[in-house]
Amino acid sequence: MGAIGDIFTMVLLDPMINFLIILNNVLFDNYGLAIIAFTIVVRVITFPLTMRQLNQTRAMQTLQPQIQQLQKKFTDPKRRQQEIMKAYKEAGINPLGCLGPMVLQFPVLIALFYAIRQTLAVSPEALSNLYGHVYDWHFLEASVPLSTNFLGMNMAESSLIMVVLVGGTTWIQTRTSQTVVTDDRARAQQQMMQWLLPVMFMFFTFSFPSGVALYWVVTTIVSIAFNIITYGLPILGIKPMTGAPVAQSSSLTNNMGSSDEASTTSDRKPRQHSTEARKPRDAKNRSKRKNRRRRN
Amino acid sequence: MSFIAILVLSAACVGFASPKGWSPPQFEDGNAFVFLDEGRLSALAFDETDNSRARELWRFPNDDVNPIEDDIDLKAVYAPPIFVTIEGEDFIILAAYSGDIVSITKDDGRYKPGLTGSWLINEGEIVGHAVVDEERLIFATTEGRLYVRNVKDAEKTVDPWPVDGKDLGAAIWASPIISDGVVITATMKGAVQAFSLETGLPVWDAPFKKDSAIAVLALINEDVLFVPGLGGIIDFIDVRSGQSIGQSFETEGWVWAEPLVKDGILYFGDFAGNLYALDITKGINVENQVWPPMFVGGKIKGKPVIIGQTLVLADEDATVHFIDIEKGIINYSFSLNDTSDIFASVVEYQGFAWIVSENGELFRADPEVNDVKEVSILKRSD
Repeated sequence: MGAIGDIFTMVLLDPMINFLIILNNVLFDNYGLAIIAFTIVVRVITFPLTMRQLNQTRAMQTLQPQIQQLQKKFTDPKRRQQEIMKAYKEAGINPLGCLGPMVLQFPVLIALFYAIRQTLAVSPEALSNLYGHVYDWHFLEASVPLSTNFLGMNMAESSLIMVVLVGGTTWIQTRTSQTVVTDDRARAQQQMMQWLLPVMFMFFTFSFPSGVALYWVVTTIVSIAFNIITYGLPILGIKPMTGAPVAQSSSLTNNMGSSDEASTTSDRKPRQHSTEARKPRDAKNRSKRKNRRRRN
Repeated sequence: MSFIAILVLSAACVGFASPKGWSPPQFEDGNAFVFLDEGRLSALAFDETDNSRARELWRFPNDDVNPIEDDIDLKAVYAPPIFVTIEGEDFIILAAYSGDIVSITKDDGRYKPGLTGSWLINEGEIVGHAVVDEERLIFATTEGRLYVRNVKDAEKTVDPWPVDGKDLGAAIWASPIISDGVVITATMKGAVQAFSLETGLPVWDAPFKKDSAIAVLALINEDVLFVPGLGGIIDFIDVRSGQSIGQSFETEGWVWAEPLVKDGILYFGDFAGNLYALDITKGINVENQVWPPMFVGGKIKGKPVIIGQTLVLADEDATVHFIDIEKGIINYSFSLNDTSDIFASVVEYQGFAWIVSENGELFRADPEVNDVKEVSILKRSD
């Protein structure tokens, strides 16, 4: 564990801390701007991984109606599992495929969070700890501790404004990432999460320095942007930029209203737009054609 | 994904360096005054025959004994207690990171609001020491304000100092220095300023400025101020004019430890684990180092002591070093296993060096026999 921790610190955490200090110096000694720029830069660098994960998730969602049919059709668990795996395989989907990019992103996001927390140096002990992370370059060392004022807030202390912003952005992010589900239980779960997550994050934000909360707000806004790219935002007439089926997405559009509306939406059949989205049906057709040929 | 994020955030919330304080032990009238717990001062009486054994006389704050102390949370204390006598009664003044500055009775360690000299104020986080100069109580806060108050009640300002403190524009972590009726402070933006205690006006033509934060400031003789920075450059300035004297001294790591001056030699450590010895009687010059920088291992945050010909130093990794100051060699290093970090300065008392760890373990180091022993403390049950 020690070696992993050392590698994590050397490869991710320390470069991030020093980059954050450089950004602070470049951006007029403004730590708030540095956090915003830093978060955006890191999220843009990890963009390909994020998109891969979102696309995989979306592809799996597209296949859900078929999976549900298989679940109803086969009572034997072993057979059911085999058929589901077969369906995934034919659609060219690896059910664990979305985990890879997520696992790769996690150390980066954790390091990002820690880097901000370390550079805030909220106590004398924290500033003392920062010493081991700052490179031995005078212009970096001479910059610490960073000035923590941003828009009248002390980034080292918690702030009610940031609590509200964290709650609001997390709620929007949850909505934009929610998918259409036909199962009542899953729908109820989804609706619970839509409120539970923002409330939990708000609760945590009360005990966090505003700098960390600012990071969370910015990273959530970036996530919302990625969700819109993937799923679109029909309420504003924005289509998925990666060819995602509109009705498969969360639809801030339809879900923004009452829960009844949400369930109506969920009952709609997805419109097929993209090649990727067509995959399951094509695969199904191919399978049918094959069977016909065999019978002939 | 979000759930994992919550787990990570909540774990991180708990694990980060929270303030604990690093106040060194103090000795007065045969008793020791030590922060055995975070933000809680204990008075210890030593065993008459063995000073490696002690019993707790009182602790402060303690709402079991004095319910009014329930509201007092010192959180972390970085400065040693100050002993003062006000109208014939002995008091101890504590300045804390929580912003509380409190004066308690020395005999029983209690806050007594009705008693002249016992008071409690809160003006902002304090990292450095508060200083008492005659009738004045002087302290500075992380909000960048310098206060001069009447030590008798701490409420009334001393004319012409404003009641809400003089705004120096940046956080102050270093302890104020008093010299000939002048108070000198340093900010975390690298400015050193001097003000007359009588008039409140600046004494120097211009503040002394450096490009890094100053977390500690010390007077190394009557005329010279030691001004280290977190950038690893130490400046020496004339206390009367605020002008630089001699050469700047470059260190490998940050310097955040008060220096020790003995027989004209200046000893100080840095965060890279080096101990420096500079003969200031020959002038402030890099070439006047008594021996080359001595690498001891861990970060040096506290001030060392010299007992006989041995310098006793504790580093952050909880290793106590006995150093021969004549030869410039480490005689012996004693690693205190299973002990928390050591940031506090080492203090000399009864021919021993006394060290307190971050978690409040008290150690007695004997340079004669190169031995370190943890003091066994019988704590009060209340």
